[in-house]
Amino acid sequence: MTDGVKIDIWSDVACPWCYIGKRRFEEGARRTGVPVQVEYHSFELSPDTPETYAGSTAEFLSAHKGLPVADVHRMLDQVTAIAASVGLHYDFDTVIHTKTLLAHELLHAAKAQGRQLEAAEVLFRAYFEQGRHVGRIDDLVELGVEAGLDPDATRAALESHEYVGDVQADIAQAVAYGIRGVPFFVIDGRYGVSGAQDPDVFADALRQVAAEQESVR
Amino acid sequence: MTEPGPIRPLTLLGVTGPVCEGDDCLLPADGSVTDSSTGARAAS
Repeated sequence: MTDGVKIDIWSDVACPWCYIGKRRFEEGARRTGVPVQVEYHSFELSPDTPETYAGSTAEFLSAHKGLPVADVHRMLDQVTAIAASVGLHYDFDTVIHTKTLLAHELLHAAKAQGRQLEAAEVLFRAYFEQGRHVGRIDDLVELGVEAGLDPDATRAALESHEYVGDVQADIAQAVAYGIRGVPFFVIDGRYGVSGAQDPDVFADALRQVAAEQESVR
Repeated sequence: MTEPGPIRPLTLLGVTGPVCEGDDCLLPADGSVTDSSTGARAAS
């Protein structure tokens, strides 16, 4: 047995439900006291997004979904309110839409340096709360440093795309699991929890797995 | 590069919560959310 229940989380940096789901999962785990070992995996929601989209989130979504901008604003307000309920301060007016492949490469570089959880938090916060660019190497190195990464090693990894194969492997594994949407949580390699569920859903799942692991000891 | 681990079928716990699929991340105007497992809309 490892040190805690293994949790594999598929998510994308640009996924509002993934950051909310992260907080709800963390709260669920906190309620149980069950130790967990979390690993983030890559899922690129919009691989066709350019490095920098010259427009607001509302304009981007309006164009892609064929909805009036006012309707999109109302939907974003709903998501913002839900984020606030878990202590997050989304600011869609400042979000910079970008392709997230490089950010995923950073998450893998961070895993190699033992700082993946820190990097995930830094990237989500940068994207949704701080209006920072998460699609360019210079910005990502800066964010990596904030997560405790070595700047030179991180820049080298991003410039050489050392971890792009790991990103693709994560996406392939998600397809194999049948994952179509994120966040998606795989618990102990056996159970799946889809979406930004209520903390109690995660708590119940963790208690169940912990009890099963205890029973086979 | 890390090879994908062996895949075994997952037991899905509970109904699907709010998810993003492609650009579709938003709560529709009626406050429902997309059920990713079925594509159906379920009350949130």
